Amino acid sequence: MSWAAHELESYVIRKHIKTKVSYLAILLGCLLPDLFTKLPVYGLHIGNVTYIKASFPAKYHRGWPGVGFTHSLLLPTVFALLILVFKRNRAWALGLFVGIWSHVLTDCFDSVGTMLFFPFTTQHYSTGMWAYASQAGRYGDAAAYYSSLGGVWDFLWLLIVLQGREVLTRKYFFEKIVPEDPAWAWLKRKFRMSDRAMLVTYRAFFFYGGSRIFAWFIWARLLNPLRGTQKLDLTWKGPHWVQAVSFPARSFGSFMQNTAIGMTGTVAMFAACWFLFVRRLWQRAT
Amino acid sequence: MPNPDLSKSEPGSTRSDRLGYSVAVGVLVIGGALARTPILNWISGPSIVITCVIVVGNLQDRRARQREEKTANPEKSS
Repeated sequence: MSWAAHELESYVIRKHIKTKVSYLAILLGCLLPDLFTKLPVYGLHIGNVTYIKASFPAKYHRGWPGVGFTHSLLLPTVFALLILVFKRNRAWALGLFVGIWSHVLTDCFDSVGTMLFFPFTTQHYSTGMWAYASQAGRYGDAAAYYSSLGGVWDFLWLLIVLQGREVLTRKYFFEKIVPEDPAWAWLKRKFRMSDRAMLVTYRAFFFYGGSRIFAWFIWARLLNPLRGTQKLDLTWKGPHWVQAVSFPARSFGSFMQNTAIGMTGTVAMFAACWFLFVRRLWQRAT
Repeated sequence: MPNPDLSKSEPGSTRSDRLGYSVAVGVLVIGGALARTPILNWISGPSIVITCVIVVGNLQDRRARQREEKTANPEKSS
């Protein structure tokens, strides 16, 4: 799984979408697939007792049976549809759609990957860039992630945001972000927010995401009591001191077959949804 | 919603905001490395940033206003 990348990618996506889109919806979309599913991955620890812990975290989090459907291309369609039906807001529908898509695609880089074409196939798609290690617990996973190419991946996202840092400016926020999303005016009215409060609310996930990379990296490489054995390993699918969970296809033929079924089903579903009702809902929305 | 004046921000706001963001980053990086999950999570992490910037910013602005009043009315303040 990606750690800080999910917070940082929202700014990059917002900057590169040229049409009207809600930043808050993109951010929510980037967080949504993990928002209600992550707790059982590591378990809830109270004292020495662990509650609601999945017996096979990787299968639960990304697979089927489990909540792996939250990391598929289907989920954003459902959320976007709900927004179009109930709120008739294009900026939020589009924001949620691209936000969830970006989370799902970013998670394809670890060894477990995501079931992109669920429910048409339960095939996982992964580049295997770093080891998925949630079975090692929260701190084992953190140590593995920030000792591997996963940490480099987070730094890369931070650099991409910094490279286009105009997206973080006061001018960009008040001229682009606020006018495109009525939620900001509502927040200002409801909570009597000052301009400073609005701007820091917008920037909060950038500062949190960026700081989080350094904090976890410092812990993993300097403070972690097991750092002697949990060494920095920037090789593909590293670190090799932890067991990398993965769900590969049985054979290349089976992979191709699953992909053909999944891709055809997903494209057909998108086309059918668009022509049957999404187009009408989109035109009706503002 | 009316846009605030973007060409010129409130007096001292940029400097005091910068200090607030620096404090937030310090708390998140140092506190996060030591305390880990209680600080580095989706609720408390962004909340720390928002709280630091608003509290530090408002404190700095209040100080700046007091300094301005002192310089404008040196007799009254003494």
